[in-house]
Amino acid sequence: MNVTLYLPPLALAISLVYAASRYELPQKILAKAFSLFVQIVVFMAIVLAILHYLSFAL
Amino acid sequence: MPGTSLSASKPAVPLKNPWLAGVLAFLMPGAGHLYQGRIFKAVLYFVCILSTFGFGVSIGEGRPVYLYYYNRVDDGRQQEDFLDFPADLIVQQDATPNGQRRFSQRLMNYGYLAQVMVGLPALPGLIQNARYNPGQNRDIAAALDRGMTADFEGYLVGYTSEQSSVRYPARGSVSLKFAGREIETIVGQFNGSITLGDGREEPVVLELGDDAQLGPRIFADPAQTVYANVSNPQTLRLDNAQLQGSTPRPLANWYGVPVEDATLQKLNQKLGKHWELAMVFTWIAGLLNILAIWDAIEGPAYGRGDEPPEEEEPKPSTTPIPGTT
Repeated sequence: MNVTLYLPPLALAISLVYAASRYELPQKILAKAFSLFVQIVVFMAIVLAILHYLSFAL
Repeated sequence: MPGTSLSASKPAVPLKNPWLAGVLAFLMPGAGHLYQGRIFKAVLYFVCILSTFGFGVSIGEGRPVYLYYYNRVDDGRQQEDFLDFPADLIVQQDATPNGQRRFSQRLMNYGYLAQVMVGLPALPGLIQNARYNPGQNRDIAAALDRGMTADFEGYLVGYTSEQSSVRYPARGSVSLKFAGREIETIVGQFNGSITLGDGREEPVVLELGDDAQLGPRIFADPAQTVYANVSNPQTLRLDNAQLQGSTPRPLANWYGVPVEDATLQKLNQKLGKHWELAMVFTWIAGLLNILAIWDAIEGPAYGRGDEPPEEEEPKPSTTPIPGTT
């Protein structure tokens, strides 16, 4: 299995736990977790795209 | 007020005894919050942290959690000499007759400092380090004092009278006992079936003896190696034969046990990047539980989440007051 597929569940777990450690109300936790999850995935996607581009000539 | 987390206008987050909650949160993610009645967080921490840890353990074949590992010291032998040999038998052979270790140095796995923060799922690493004593493990006589019967899975390897080699899958049960300290021999019996070249399964009963080899009782591998020469190969129309395979080790005898260099070599060879990922996932789970423990002791870092935004203080006026200079 492509190890890239391990990233979304890991990012989700990290987002949920971090958001839960910041807030108490479930709605707030889930909202902040979703926001953080999107940020992580977008950032990793950008890094993946840059590395993919840099690996072209290899 | 002790044991509560106060915000300006909302009910406090119930922390009860925060230090007890912290200890419970350390031992099991979510347990501290369950004690405090914070059910949503208890379930969230439990599921997220333990699933991350469990996934790491599973892709590492159950062995990425250990406190120490043994690094092989260069003894002049080539890696190729032992890579195809079971790791637990290498350790048995490398030990001196009085059980001392040769050719290896013990090193700490610093990643365990993160793994242990998950609590009970990682704490066996501390206990297993004390139990893993190759000298005592090597005492097969003690291990087989009452005999051993276990499921066996492996191969029957042998030679026919025409010197052609055969290798038949074998499955069944193996019984072993120590024949006596004077002759230092393990003997036993295999009762099961072998799958012949044409696909037929043939039930067999094989007598085992003549210096059978058995892996240590406690070792970082769920499979305990058994190599045993067959005393009656003629029943299979073979000149000589050896049973090569393994019996299952109980979970308590392999989970969290310090890892030998040969085992690490084989795991890296077999799992590749999944071995590193396994350790990374367990580290992340441990580090996440630090956040959960902190939350159990101190409450949420930013408050409940429904506090009104703080009103800005009015800025001091810069307009001169009439009548003043």
